[in-house]
Amino acid sequence: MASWYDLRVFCTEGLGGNPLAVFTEPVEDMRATAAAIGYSETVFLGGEPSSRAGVRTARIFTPEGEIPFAGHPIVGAAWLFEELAGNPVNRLVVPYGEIEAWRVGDRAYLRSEPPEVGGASDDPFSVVEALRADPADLTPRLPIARCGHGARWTFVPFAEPQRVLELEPDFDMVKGVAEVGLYCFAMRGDEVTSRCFAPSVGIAEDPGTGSAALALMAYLARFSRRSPSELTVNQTECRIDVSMNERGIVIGGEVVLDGVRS
Amino acid sequence: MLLAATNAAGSASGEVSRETFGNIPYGLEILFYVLAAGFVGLTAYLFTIRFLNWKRGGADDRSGYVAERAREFSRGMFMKTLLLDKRAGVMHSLLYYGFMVLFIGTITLEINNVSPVKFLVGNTYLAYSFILEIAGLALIAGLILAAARRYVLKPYRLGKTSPEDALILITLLAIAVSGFLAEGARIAVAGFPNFERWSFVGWATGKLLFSWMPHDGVVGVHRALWLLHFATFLLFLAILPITKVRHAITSPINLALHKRERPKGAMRPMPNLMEEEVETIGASAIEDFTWKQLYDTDACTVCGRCTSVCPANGTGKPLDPREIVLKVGEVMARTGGVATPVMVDQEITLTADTVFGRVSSDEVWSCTSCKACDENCPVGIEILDKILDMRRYLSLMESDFPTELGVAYKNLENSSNPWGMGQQSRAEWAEGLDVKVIEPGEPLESEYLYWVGCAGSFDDRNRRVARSTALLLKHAGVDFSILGPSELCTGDPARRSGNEYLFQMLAFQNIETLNEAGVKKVITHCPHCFNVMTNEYPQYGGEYEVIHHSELLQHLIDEGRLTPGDALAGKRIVLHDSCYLGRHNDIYEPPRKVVASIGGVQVLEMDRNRTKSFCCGAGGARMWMEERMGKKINVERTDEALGTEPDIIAVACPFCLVMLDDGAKERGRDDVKVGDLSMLIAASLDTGVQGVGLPGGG
Ligand code: SF4
Ligand code: SF4
Repeated sequence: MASWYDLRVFCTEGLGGNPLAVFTEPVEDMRATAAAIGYSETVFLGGEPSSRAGVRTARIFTPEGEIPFAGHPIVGAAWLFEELAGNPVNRLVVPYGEIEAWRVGDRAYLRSEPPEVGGASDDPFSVVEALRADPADLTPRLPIARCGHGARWTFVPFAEPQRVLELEPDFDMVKGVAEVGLYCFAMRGDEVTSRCFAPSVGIAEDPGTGSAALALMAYLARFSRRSPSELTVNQTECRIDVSMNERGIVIGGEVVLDGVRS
Repeated sequence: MLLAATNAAGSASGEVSRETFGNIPYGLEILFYVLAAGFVGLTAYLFTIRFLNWKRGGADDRSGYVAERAREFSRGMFMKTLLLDKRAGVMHSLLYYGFMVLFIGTITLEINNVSPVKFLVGNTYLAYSFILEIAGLALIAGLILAAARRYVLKPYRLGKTSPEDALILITLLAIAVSGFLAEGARIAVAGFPNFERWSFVGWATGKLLFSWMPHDGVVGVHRALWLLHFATFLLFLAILPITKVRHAITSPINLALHKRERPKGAMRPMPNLMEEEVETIGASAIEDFTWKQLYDTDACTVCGRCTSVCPANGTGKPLDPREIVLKVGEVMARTGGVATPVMVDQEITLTADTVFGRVSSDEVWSCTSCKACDENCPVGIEILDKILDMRRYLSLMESDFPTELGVAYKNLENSSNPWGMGQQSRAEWAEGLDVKVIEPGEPLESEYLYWVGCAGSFDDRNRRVARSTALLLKHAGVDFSILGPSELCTGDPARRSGNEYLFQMLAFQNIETLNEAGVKKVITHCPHCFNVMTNEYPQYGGEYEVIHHSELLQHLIDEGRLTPGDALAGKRIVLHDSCYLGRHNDIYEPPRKVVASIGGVQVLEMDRNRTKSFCCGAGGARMWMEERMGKKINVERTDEALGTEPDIIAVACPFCLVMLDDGAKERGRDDVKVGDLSMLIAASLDTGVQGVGLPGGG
């Protein structure tokens, strides 16, 4: 196997984070390689190199296959570009489209336009049942709703962070109710506590879901009365910074390089 | 024309000139010299007793800086400082230069009189005559304008009109008019020699009034008018020391004395109170002021410029800086047996032999120490110093301060910051930014120390300033560390509210920490920290090169180490000057340049900007006191800023940020963002880093 960079994205002062494998050399069977490594996502850089300065191309694979867009791989890739070449990258072209991404110090970020909120509605009872939660634990102030770029996450708002941490879902049932996965969260001011279950795409529980954090901001802008402009999302071992302004939604976080493997 | 200039008749020889005391009997000539000498003596005497009064004040070193003092003196003589107000400038120039030319003309005539070689002959005499006519007309025109301003137009700042003003105007007018009348009579006595047409006003006056009189009659009238003219001048000499006309002499001298041994942002140093026992602190009795502070009061022209720019006065507080000057002057005069200015209500009785017999503590506590009064006074009077010395007295000798200030004092004592937050949390703002913190006892290894200040450390809105500044410094590759928990309040709120003791306690600890760590260069985003560390820590052994972040950011941008982005393109940004950056330290342009460097923005100015900028209301420890009287200063300033229809109000001070942000909220203008320079640059880069840039995005 070609050598690859072993990163953790969305860390907290060097700890935790969501693992990411990045290949900078061409690889024959990307899908098999990603499955062999087994990380939630693997990135292959420079499929079709762009001639524009600061613009690079990338493809993202889960163990199950290619996906058009994902948060932590793009953030990790933007971080690594500067680490390797010293050249700042400011855009990554992924199958979903061209994404602004950049590095600031030990962090990297990406910007995206807010995804659409809503569309198909979920049956709250089956969602709660799949999560094996008590319906009374949900906050009545926010709805269960879907939001996301391409693949849409189902957002499930809880009143208490503690309830989110205690969830033990029935993964077979989750597969049945979610389009991609269930994103369960609770808020304390601008601090979010969340967990993300996506068995239908082969990830029982994702440690840090950038695309969902991004969609969460759009979901809150639509439904929350206080619609915050900055969020700190604490998802299992990950910490994701989210902010929104007129130019779009930005997610990012600290990235750590653990080494080069082959 | 003036005085002797009117005395001559055409000389017997028919030469183009005149005799100084023509037509004036020898007896009157003697009387002239005797009275003139007598009145000059009287004037000198009246000035001397005032001088003795000034000497009641304490030491104040105004030596050295000879060239600068000479320059300031001549600026005073030529009224450079006055001309800043165009309308008043024209009026006062006509009046003053008219008078001075006449006065010098008169002395020239007297010199010509005693000189063996006469030079006022032929064409020289004609030109001399003509110039004096113009000067006389200028004086009269100036007086008419002055009277119109005072009695008809009544600009707000001249609100304080008294009989004294009328006395002065009438005296000067009498001098001018009697001069022209006497001149007319003199020309008539001489039989209208042709060359006297150059004295065209006198000629016309003579033709109009005296040409029909028999010669003997004109001779008598001329003598009477000459005496009248002389009498008006004696009157002038008499009122010179005892009315505000004295400013013609005292003001230029005051300007020459303006330069002092300490920077203008520094308060009067006090001895080390940790080691020395001091009998009185601050100023209450006249003897507690310095001689210069007392001299000032006799240089005041009562023009009211100080009052017109005072934020406290402008929003209905009891403070009026002009009154502070005059009241100190009144108490000085009353307790020193010298005539109070004529305008003073003679009924006023002092309840005590101290300034607090006239000045209330509400006045003293209303001051924001914005220094607008000092910076706009055309004659360089130091008003703020007096107020702050009175505060020292009230705070430490009388414990007469607003109760809320007591809370701030307690917090400073117990927690070393006015918010009363735990020192341990000082560096929490830097979370996730990878900022180096110097451990106690360790040396500074970076090039700079970033002095964050209490607001940047503890106030939610201002943590954003600290975070933005730190991010930009890192971005530009500036090597810096912070002190974290070993940084204490600089003591500015304590010092500006008169609690010198508490100030020194904090200052000495900070200086010890800084010196131990070997700190040489300091960056700070707080103008108050900047001012204290730059201008006042040297008084106690703390010498550092301190740079305000506005200057540093400008420098980094100029050098290309920091390039603002264009995420704020199209925004209208209005800049608010910070008093402690601007008036106290003359830093006006760097904040403007920093804002202008942001891509695609439009920079707006308020009408009151730079030296005339209107305070946000937080300075002088007003941040820690309730504002109970009048309109809120911050709301007044916010209204002015909102009047420019901005998207963003830019500030360069943590306290301005709080005050104007509160003002915008009070006006329900959540759409207008208030941001420090560093927040704006960070926002223009739209980094995505949490807690930097403008709140709420944008
Ligand atoms: S310093 Fe400012 S607030 Fe104080 S008296 Fe002067 S102008 Fe007024
Ligand atoms: S203190 Fe200065 S500005 Fe104020 S009234 Fe007197 S001369 Fe004018």
